[in-house]
Amino acid sequence: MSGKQMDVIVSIQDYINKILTNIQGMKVLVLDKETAGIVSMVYTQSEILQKEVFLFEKIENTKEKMLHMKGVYFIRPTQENIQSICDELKDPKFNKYHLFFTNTISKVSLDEIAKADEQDVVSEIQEYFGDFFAVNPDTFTLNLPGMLTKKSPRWQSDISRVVDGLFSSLLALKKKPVIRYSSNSDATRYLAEKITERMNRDRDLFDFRRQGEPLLLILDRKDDPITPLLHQWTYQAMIHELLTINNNRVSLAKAPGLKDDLKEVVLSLDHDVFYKENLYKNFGDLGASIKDLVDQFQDKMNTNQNIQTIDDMKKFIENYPNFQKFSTTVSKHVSLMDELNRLISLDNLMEVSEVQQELACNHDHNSIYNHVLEIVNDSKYTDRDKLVLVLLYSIRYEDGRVWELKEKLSSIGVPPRDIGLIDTLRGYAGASLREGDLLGTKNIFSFARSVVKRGLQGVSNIYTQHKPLLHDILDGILKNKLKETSYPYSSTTQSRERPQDVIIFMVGGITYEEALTVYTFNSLNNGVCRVVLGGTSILNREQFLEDLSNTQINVNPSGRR
Amino acid sequence: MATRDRTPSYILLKAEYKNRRPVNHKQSTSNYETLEEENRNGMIPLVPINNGGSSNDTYPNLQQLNVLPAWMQKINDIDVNLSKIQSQIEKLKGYHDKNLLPDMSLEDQSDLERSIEITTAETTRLFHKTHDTIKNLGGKGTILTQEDLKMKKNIQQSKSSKLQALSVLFRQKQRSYLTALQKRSNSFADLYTKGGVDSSHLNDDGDDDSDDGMKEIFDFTDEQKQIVDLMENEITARDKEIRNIIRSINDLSQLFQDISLLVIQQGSLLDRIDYNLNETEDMIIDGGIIIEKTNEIHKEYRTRLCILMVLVALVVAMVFIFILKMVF
Repeated sequence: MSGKQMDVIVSIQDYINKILTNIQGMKVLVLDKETAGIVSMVYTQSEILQKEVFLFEKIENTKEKMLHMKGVYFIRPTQENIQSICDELKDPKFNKYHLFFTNTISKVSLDEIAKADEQDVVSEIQEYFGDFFAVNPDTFTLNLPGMLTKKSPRWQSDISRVVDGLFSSLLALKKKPVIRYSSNSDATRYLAEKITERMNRDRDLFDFRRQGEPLLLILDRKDDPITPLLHQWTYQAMIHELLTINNNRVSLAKAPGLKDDLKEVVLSLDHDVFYKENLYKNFGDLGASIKDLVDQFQDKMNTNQNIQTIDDMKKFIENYPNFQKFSTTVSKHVSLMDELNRLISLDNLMEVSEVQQELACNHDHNSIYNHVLEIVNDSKYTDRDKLVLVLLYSIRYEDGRVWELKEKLSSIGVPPRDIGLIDTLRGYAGASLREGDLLGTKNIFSFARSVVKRGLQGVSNIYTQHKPLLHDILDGILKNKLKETSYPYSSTTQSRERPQDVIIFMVGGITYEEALTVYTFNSLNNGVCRVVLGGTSILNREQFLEDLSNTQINVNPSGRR
Repeated sequence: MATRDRTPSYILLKAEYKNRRPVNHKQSTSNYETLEEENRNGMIPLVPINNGGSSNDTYPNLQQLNVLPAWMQKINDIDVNLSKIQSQIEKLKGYHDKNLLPDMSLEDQSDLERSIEITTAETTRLFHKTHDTIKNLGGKGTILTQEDLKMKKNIQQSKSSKLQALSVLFRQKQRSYLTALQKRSNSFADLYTKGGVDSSHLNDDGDDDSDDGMKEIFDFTDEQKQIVDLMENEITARDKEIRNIIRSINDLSQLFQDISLLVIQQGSLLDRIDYNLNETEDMIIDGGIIIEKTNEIHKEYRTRLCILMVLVALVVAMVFIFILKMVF
């Protein structure tokens, strides 16, 4: 393990593989709601079938008696799961029970199971720390939306899940990090404390061979509220922005004129070479790749039509499964692109995105104000886009003419609830609440540098010129210049070295643009520094706005009181 | 990829609970431990007769179920066959390589060729047999529950994909061998034509357009003999080719069969575990709803029937009273 790079997909795969190969014979794999997703994202059903797993079950379903089978449970150690195991053990359904929990299991739960296991059917209990959803090799999520602030309604119920997930990711990656957090945020400090507490409690688990001092940096979404609001132009991010990726599945149900089998498609890095290669490409390059793909397909089609001898036929049959696979890949990506294209031209997203990027990166207030006004006044853009532009403007120029824009929005019929989001956003991520230098204006040097840089180098692609705050933070880590006042250590042991392995976790959710940032950083600094990015969820614009408005519900009544 | 084994502490806890149970169970504990050990030695797990007491009456039932159902025992056969096929293919590959070596006495070669033929036939037979077993798994005469059906489908899928992989391998091996063989025989033919000075030239001419050759060359009998030989050779070659083709077509048809069994593609939505799980769950839920509806309709019907009966009774009673009144 020591020489290997941190890779979240591989670590989950290794866990599952280890479980299934160590247990010989015919097995039933029992999963719960979350682990079903966790396993599905890294393994396909046919791969698991090869490991003599002949049945998949959900833990909450009642099962038939199958005493000739072994039950392999891969579940989270939640109270309900423990309860249903205990109930089941009174009347065992399987010959042997192999229980694998995705996190630490408490002594109490262990005791409960021991009490229930009167027939001695439980043959092992293990902790395998695969308690998170691996999206890309360097990105994971916990699928917990609505965790923007400590005041969010779901914070109370889900925070322990966040601690579990982050904790297990450290173990899965075999890292015992020093922890730093964003100093202006209660949420990150709280999480940092909780993780330290857990690490101290289960100290024996972190008994790894030391290789440098890894770093866990806990950030808060509010430090960079711009990124989730921008339109995206790289493949993965675009799909998520416009169609929403859910556990690597994308629904195309809203796309017109598609065959039934394309209503929902799977985007898996392991089984879709095209997706893997073009994940981070921007829209223009993507078009070229799609064209190549279709050309390739055409070629293959032609050779296939050209069957004359028995030998040709044999060759055809040998290649047929591959060909079939290729053809589904082609139709999948073509229809995805088609749908993306349709949505983009429907809502004139190119123009909107141009102004968005200008807002995010430029410093010329007057011209940008006019552009925003133009778009708000033009009826060919959607209300959503107008709202988001004003939101962006309000972050960028907090003291600017936000009031006038708000008036404007309400005059074109945007509901007051949505306009209220502008204040909510300020309450959530106003300039005084943010940590770090989101707009590059806090420091006169960096401000001057960015202006000069823009002036000298120009911009290669106006749609992707925005760099998330994470980019600067990563830069700081690489140069070992991350300020201690902004990102303090949670423990007293402070290392001065530059960390080789960095796990960054963002409370409130990450975006695919940030995943791209991390990917680029990793490929540029291969062998020097490797980053894994995790978040409570993966945001797109809709999700972010929904989460924002949820904090609104919570804040308003308490404000009146 | 850290893991932690909690089994030891679990066993400790369990032992504690066992000690707390009534004394007459103590013996059964040791009984169980020996059984445990037997299990570890790879024996077929039996249901331990421990615990005694109240739950004893359920045991005969359990013992029956603990054995593999008959249809599932066939899986073992399939596995054995699959590994047999694998070794056969290896063996065949060895023969092929040997046969393609240039220096070889004729006798050895014919021996080798025969064994190649036998192994090939054997492998094909195994393929067919395994294929049939998979297809007919849990087919006739067995009563399968819902879960069993799902399991059967999964087993068939996994085994047939294995078989498929093997058959592709087999066919690839065969094809490469045949092409190698063809190449070699071609090069032999080349050698022969080059070596066989003038006569071969004549042969070539005669081959190209034999009519001309017949007219030009006066040694009729020799020439005719040669032509007859040639034709005979050609006929046998053709015959062989046709046989080859027939065999290929048979192979093809079998391959198509293999493919037909394996419909699910890697990486597609149908191959997602969570999708399939949700699908089952939805179906179960739908089933529940339908059952509930049926139940309600049934109940409604019953109450309606009741009301109707009461009504009928009332009417009868009224008529009765009416008649009584009329009479008296």
